[in-house]
This record gives sequence, structure tokens and C-alpha cells, in this order.
Amino acid sequence: MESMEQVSTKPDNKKKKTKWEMLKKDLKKNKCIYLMAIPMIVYFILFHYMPMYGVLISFKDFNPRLGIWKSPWVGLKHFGTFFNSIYFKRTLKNTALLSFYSLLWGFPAAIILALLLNELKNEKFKRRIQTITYLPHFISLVVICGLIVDFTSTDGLINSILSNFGVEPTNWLTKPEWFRTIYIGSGLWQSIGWDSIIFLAALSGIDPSLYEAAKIDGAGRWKQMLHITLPALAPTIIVMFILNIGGLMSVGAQKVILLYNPLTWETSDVISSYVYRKGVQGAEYSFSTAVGLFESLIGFTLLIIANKLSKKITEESLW
Amino acid sequence: MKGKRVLSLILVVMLIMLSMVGCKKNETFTSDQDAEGGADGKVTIKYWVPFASNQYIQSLNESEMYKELEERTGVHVKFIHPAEGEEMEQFNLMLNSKELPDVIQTYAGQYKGGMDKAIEDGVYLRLNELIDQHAPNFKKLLEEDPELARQTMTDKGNIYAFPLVGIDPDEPAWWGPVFRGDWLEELDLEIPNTIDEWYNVLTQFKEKKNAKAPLVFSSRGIDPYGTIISAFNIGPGFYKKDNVVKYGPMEPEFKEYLATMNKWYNEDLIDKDFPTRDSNGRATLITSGDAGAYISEYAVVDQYQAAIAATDPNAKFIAAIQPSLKAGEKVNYRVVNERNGGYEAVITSSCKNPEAVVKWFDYAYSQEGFMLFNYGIEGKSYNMVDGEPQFTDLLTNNPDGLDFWTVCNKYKLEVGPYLRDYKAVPGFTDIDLDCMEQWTKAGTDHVIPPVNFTPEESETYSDIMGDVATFKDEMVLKFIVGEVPLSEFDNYVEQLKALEIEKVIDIYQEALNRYNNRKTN
Amino acid sequence: MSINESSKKAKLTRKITGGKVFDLFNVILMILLMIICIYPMLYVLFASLSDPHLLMQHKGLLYKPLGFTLQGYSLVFQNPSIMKGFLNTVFYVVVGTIISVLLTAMSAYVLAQDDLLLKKPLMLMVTITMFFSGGLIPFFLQVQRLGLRNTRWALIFPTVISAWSLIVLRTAFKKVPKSLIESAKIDGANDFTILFRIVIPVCKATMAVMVLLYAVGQWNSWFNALIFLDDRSKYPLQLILREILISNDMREMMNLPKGSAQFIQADAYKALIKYSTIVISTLPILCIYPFVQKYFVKGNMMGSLKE
Repeated sequence: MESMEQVSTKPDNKKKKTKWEMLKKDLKKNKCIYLMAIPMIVYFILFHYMPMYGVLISFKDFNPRLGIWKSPWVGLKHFGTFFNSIYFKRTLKNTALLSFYSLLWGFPAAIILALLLNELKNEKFKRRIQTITYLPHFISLVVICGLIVDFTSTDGLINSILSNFGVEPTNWLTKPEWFRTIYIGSGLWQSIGWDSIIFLAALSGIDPSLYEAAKIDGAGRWKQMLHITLPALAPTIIVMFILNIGGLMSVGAQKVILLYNPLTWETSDVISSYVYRKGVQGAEYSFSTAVGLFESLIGFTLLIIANKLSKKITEESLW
Repeated sequence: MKGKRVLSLILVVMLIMLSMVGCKKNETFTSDQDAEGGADGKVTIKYWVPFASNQYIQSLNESEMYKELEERTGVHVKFIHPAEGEEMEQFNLMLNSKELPDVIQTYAGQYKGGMDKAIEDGVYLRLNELIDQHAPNFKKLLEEDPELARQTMTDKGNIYAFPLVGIDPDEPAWWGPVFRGDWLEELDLEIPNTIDEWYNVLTQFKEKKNAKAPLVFSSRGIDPYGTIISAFNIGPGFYKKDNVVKYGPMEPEFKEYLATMNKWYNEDLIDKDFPTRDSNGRATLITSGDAGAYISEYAVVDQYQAAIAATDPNAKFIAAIQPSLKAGEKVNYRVVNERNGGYEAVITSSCKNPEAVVKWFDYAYSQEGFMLFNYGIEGKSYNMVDGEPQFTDLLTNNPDGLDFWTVCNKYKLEVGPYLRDYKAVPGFTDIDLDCMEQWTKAGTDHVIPPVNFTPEESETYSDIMGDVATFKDEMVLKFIVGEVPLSEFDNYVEQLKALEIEKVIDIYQEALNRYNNRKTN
Repeated sequence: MSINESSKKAKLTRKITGGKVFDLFNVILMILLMIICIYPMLYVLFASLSDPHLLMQHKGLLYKPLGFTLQGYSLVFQNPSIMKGFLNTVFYVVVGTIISVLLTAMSAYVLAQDDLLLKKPLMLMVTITMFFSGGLIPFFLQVQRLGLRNTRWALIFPTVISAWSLIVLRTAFKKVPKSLIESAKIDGANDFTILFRIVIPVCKATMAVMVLLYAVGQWNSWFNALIFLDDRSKYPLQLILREILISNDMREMMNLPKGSAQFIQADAYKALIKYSTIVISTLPILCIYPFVQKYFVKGNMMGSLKE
């Protein structure tokens, strides 16, 4: 305790100097590691940071001929257009809710699938299921959404099942209250197998002797899962969760556009689909970049908050 | 040590890759030079144009027609085709780089700020003087057809492109309503002409033929080319009445339209799932015999006819005229073939020899050019039979078993800047001819010609129309399916006004006035 | 005593039957999931083999091909670019995946170090790129400036490291027991040796996932090819297949405003081509999963340590 305080009360310039020295020392000590970091640093600078000046477009009226630097400044005009739209609140809310519910259902589902697969005793059967659950990931969204439209239409599969229970047939995709359910349910269908792969990989790294020991102690399968499997999965789960939180504000346009129609826009129109429709009216580079920047800022803020919380609660964090 | 070996391996791999990048770069550089310089004194045009490749022809560089054209004009063309699907994106990226191709076709009109701006920015060339001096055939067309002249110039009087021009100024309509003719016959009904007759026919289809979807309908609740809505004497979107611009979805007549559609929907005369039905879904409905009527284009009607014949040989589609409220009343909105048929080709400021390019383009509007572009090479792709050109078996009955549309771009040009004859196809079916005749009976007085917005206007337009379109689309469907009662119509109009729709109407009005004032001589 | 004992016994039997019920329930659930998940693939397969006219009229589910034809496939394969595109894609997938996985592993190793002074800024540098980008235009210009445009490397280098994969792999690397690394260091191993001889073998399963992610990513990618390549002979398969789909689907949309109806191909075969294309573009990449799966065996970490 005392020594820590001493360090922090040292004069400023000296502290700076020590920082430099520490860095030098660190560079020397971890020479090999920094050597390994070079390709990564070069890559991110070349292909991510050098082109990043492109965000300037959102504060300009972009004209391709003038280029990004010479296009005229317009300040926050494009942000204003977005914030002042009567649909701003609605799309923001729909985006947040849609991705929040997706995370709420989809995230645990992938973990549960991995855990259930882990409990299967027949290896062959297990492998077969893994392979098959990962298939839908590869079918294009257009086909998947075409099937969904078929299933939910007035004379579709869902209605013909429900009619046995005396439910009046209806077109489910025209009901705003059902949109999120359909969107998230089909998302689960398409990605549960794929999403569980990363957890399966983590599961395979668990030392089997831990389970042996637990069995000898008389722990049942439930307890083994609770005390061995889950703790071993925890770092992966937490990192994936933090990354997912960061993605909360971005819902891709394609699937929404394939599934929505004006009757459900109340709940289905998200930021990206709104920007898409606006783009059809006229090429809107600046506007869409501005909206993208807004989404990124929120996403990044959420990520930092999630990371901080995680650090406090679980000591697991991105940095 | 092993680690060192791995490290050196990685470094070697990276070095090899870098050197390969270097080599590749040189290669492309030299090939670029080849394209630029006419080594044998020939003019070479770099021509950017989207093209749908297929197994028979991968790029227009393989076109026999363009090879023949090179023989005749001494101009070599090097075609650059953007990958299909994101042409707009690629067009915008291209504008960012300094070196442009000599010619840009089809997407040139997407230049942000409009064509006048493009010429002002020094990206496209103003062609007026060049056409005066070097394009006698095209110039003659402009002189003889003031409407064409008006549509190929901007508000500031710049001629900016060579477009596709139909040789027939009155090309027939290609979009309109179709009924199940066999059902009409069976039920002893006439082809309906008015909204009331439509109602009667659709009801009979529903009751007597058990049609699931007596009318297959556009998913947005308004036919984009105005069938049905034009009966109410308004247009589907912006339209003009005696040169006064109006917005159909806010006119009082629109309420009647919605009331009618709502009634039809409630009585199951309209496909119950129309808001979620895409074009494939509609095709299924039509070809499986569940539909009694639909609105489409004649080439598609042919396909539907072929498909439905597989299961119901008696099924027959028959064209109807666009309905009106009272019998014999003329409707004034339908699909129009503008004189400027699109596919506009501009010449960019990177072009070193614009005179030669203009001359080359002009050939496509000459008599020989007309035959070459529409029919190809005599003796190869067509023969003259009784003074009329007729395609050879190479196109109509291809030895590889391919259909006309797959083969045609190798010997003639489907679309592009030339004088086109819409009849330059192997032949129309009776259905096609019937459709053309019935659909063309509707008038076009309410249709706004292709006007230009100034950069400021187009910005206001897209700012306002984003929200207006969202609001309108949503409300129209809710009115039709009855989720919002029609008593709300006045509030709906008020909201449209609050969203500043009137500003857009004013913009349109001014643009139309400028269009009408263009000096065409 | 006896009461206590009998209750213990009851608990035990309950546990056993409980376990069995759970197993049964689990198996049933998995079979249901399997049926649901295999259906879309079967649907596409059946559709690709069906008679196009019947397919056009068909509504709802498909349980077998309607009629039988291979015409969809023969139409797709008539396109001479397909084979070339396939070979190109194999190159992009193999070379791209190798480089990506190597670089990602090296980077993840760096970020997994606990005592690195610059760990936090480096991590931040990576994370920021997941959210902020300059958009397409500067990215395009940068690739052009680096001389990568219209070269095969334009499909490999600009996306060579995925920040997301990097973070996932780092998480796995961090779980490698410190004692292993320490003892190797005492033996005089440098970081490269540790990475390739210890860390990677221990994290085999996650490395396999990386291979899968990058390979599938390369296999499916078409957008970079679309904007960076002018030369059709370098096109990957997906871009060619996409063009086949697009020229079928979008043509009418593109032409509608100003063209006219006679330019629409007579294509009842449209849907057939679409489904055949999906089958052709998915089957090969599906085949790599079993190879990846091999590494998901329980306890392989121990195996690698004994090596």
C-alpha cells in the first residue's frame, strides 16, 4: 500500500521519464513479441486507420469528382436530417429492441446447444448433428426469407398447423406484433449451429481429469456442468458477450427488407432499412456515412461500458 | 532453432508475395498503355458499360456486330464491363479516380447534381457543337423530333449524351391488366372496361371459379403505372393535369380509390397476402390457376401462358383495357416509352479524340447503322425476305439450343445508344399483339415527362420524400386492409402537408415549366 | 439410520432415472433440431432438380423433387467462367486462409501477453476498427495506391486479419496454462517456438475454428473482387455465380424504368438456375467442416501436451 502511494506522488516529469524508460525496457525485453506485432500493426494502419479519414464525408456534401478532401463542409447537416426525421425515434427503438431480443434469445441458445451436444454420448450422432445444424448458415438469406414468407402466408404451413387448433388463418408477416418473433426465430434457426461452434471448440479444451475427479466426489452431471464446464467456458462467453453488446446498434438491412412490408414498419423499420429506402431516392453517401458514424459511436460506447462492467464483476476484459 | 526457421519461412513467403504484387502492377501498367495508344493509327475508345454476360457471350469485345462496325468505321472499341449487381457503386468509385474511360454508358445519368453539374465540373463533355459538326444523322433526328430534342438536352440547353431512340415514335404500351379469358367465356362475361364491371367479374371469379386471388395486386397497394388508379382521374404518384403538377396520393379522388380497394379487399377480391407477395410469389399464384386477373407486361404474360398450359391446357390469358369509372371514359395515365429511351452514353473529359467518338456514335443512327444494330450482318444473322429483314436460324433456332435472348448480343445489340426498332425480334405472339393494342388505348396526358432537378432541388426532394414515401406507403396499406378507417383520410393529407409535400410539388412544377420552355431548335 | 439410508437410495435412483430421462429428452430435441435445420438445404436441393414449370406453380413445402431434371446444373456449367472461377477461389481460400491464420495467431499471441506494456493500446487499436471505418471510397483508393488493384492480392491482404477472430483467438490463447510457457522459457525457447510448439497445439480446436472462419469467409466473399478486379479471369466463383443470379433477377428491375418488356428473357429456368447455383456454391465448402470437427474431440489439450 505505502509503496503504491509513493509512486503516485512522484513529480510529473520524473514519472514521464520512467514511462519512457519502462517502454524502452519493455521493447527490449519483449523484442520478439513486438516483432510479431509488426504485421498486425502494419495491417491495421494500412487498411483501417489510413482510410479512416473517410468519416469526414459525414460532415461534408460528398461529390465524387471533388473527392473527400475537397468536397464542401456542411457541418452537422446530415446528422440533423436524421435526428429531425419523424421516424428517427421509431427506427432507433426498433433497432435497439430487435437486436436486444436477438441477443437475449440467440446468445444463450448457442451456448445451450453446445452444452447439450457436450452431453451426448454417441460421438457419431453428435458429429452428425453438429454438421447439420450448421448447414442453414450457408443458405442465402434470399432463400431462407422466401421460405419464411411461404410458411407465414395465409395458406402457409404455420396456418395449416394452427387451424387444427381453431386459429383463424392470417398472414403473420403483416402483423407488427409478430415481426420480432419471426425475425428472431428464423435467425435462431439459421445461426444456432454456426454460433455454437466457437463454444464447442472451447469445450474440447477442458481437461477430462477434472470430470473424473468430480465423478469420484459424487457430483452429478448437473453439478459437473455448473462447476466445471461453465467456468471453463466463462472467458469465451464473456468476450463474445461483450463483442455482441458492441454490435447492438447495428442490424443489417438485407433480412429486414426481405421480411418487412409497410404494414409492419411500426416494429420492423430499423435504421439501416430506413437509410436504404432513403438511398433509393438518391445516392446518399454523406447521409449514410453520418448515420453509420452515429451507430458506431453508440456501439463503441456500449462496448466500453460492457467491458468496464465485466472487468469489475468478473475480472475478464478485452483490455 | 525451430522458431527461427518458421520466422524466416514467413518472411520469405511475404517477400515472394510482395514481389508478385510488384510484377502484377507492371503488367497492368503496360496493358493500360496498349489500350491508350492506337499503335496502328486506329482510334481506340475505352467504353464503360454494364453488360449481362452469359454462356454464349461474355463481353461486348466478342460481339460480331462491333467487329463489323470496326471494319466499317475504323474505330476500335475496348469495352470495360463492371461486375454485375453493384454498378452504381462502381460508377461512383470510378468517378473518384483521375483517369476516366472515354465513354460511360447507362449509369452516366446518376451523376450527383445532374448533367449540367457534370458538364460544369468538367467531367462530361457538352456535345452540342460536336453534334452540329460531326453527327449529321443524329442531328437530323433531333431536328425532326422536337420531343426527342427536348429530352436529350438539359434545362441549360446542353446536349449531354447519345440515347437509345425508338424509330417508332408511338411504341405501344407494355404494361397493363390481364384476365383469365377462359373463365370469362365460361361465365359468359365480357372483358370488363369499368371499375364496376371489374368488381362484377372479380366477384364472379371469386364465387363461381373459387379463385383464391381474383386480382393479384401490387404489394404497395398502387399499381406503379397507374392501372385502376387512373380510373379515378389521378396518377399513382406525381402527375400533371393541364401542366399543373399534382400528387395523386393526396388528391380527394384518392380517397375514393382507397374506399374501392378496401371494399375489394374485404370481399376477398384482392389477394389476401398482397403486401408480402414478391414477384415470384405472384408468378406462382398466377400460374397455379388461383388468380383471375393481374397487371403485368406482355413478355411475362407469354411466360405465364406457357407455364399454366402445363397443368391447365384450357387456360388462356386475355388483355383488357385500363378500367375507367364510366364506360367509354378515357383514362390518362399509363406506361410511356419516352423518346429518350435511356441507356445514355456520355463522352468524358478524358477522351482525347471526341470528334472521332461522336462520328462513331452517329453511325448508329444512320440507315446502315440501323440495320447493323437491329439485325446484325446480312447473310449471317439476317436475310432479306420480301424486302423485310428476317433473322436466320443462328438466332431463332440456334444450333446450340440457346434461345434468341441469349444469343442476340453476339450479332446485334439489345439495348444501347442507337436507333432501335422494337419489332427487331423474332416475332410477337397473338397475346403480345393483343396486349399492345388494348393497353395503348389509355392516354398519357397525365404523365410527367423526364424533367431535371437542379442540385439544390434534388437535395430537397430526397430530404422530403424519404419520410413522405414511408408515411404514404404505410398509410395506404393500412387504409386498404382496413386497419385505419377512411375517416382518417383528412388527417393523412394534413400529415403529408406537414411533411412538406407541397414543397416537392412546387419543385416538380418548376422543373416541368423549365422542361416545357426548353428551346429545341 | 435406516430411514436415512433408504432416502439416499431413493435419491440415487431418482438421479439415475433423471439422467436417463434427460438423455432421452436431449436426443429427441437434437433430432428435432436436425430435421428443422436440414430442411432448407433439402428444399434447395429438391428445387434445383425440379421441373421448372411445376416448380413455378408449386406452393409450400417440397418433400421431393417435382419431376426430375439436371438442366439447371447444365445451364450453370455451360458458363465457361465457372471452372476458372472455381480454381481462382481455391487459390484465394487456400492462400488467404494460410496467411490469415498465421498472422492472426501471431497477433493473438502478442495480445495474449499479460506483461506487455503496450497491450492495452494495441487491443484498443484492434477494437476500434470493429466499429469505425472510413467507408468504401478511401478504402478503395488506399488499395489502389498500394498497387494491389486488379491483382489477386487485393482479395487477400485488405481483409487479412479479422479483428473479431483475433479477439476470439486471443481469449483461447490466454487460457493456456502459464506454467507450460514458463517452463519452456526456462528451457530457452523463444516466443516463436512457444507459439508454434506449445500455444497453437494446445489451442488446436480454436485454431481449427479460425481455419473454418477464414476459409468460409474467403469462399463466400465477392464484394472486394467486385470493386478491386477488372480482369474477369481473376474473378472468384462467388462473383460469377452472383452474376448469374443477378442477371436473372435484377435485369428486369434494372431495365424496367426505361427499357421495355420484350427484353426479358424467357426464363422459367430462372428459379432452377438460382437453386442449382446455391447448391454448387455451398457443397464444396460444406466438405471442410468434418476436417475441422476432428479437432473438437474432448481432452485433446492433454494429448497435445504429452506429445
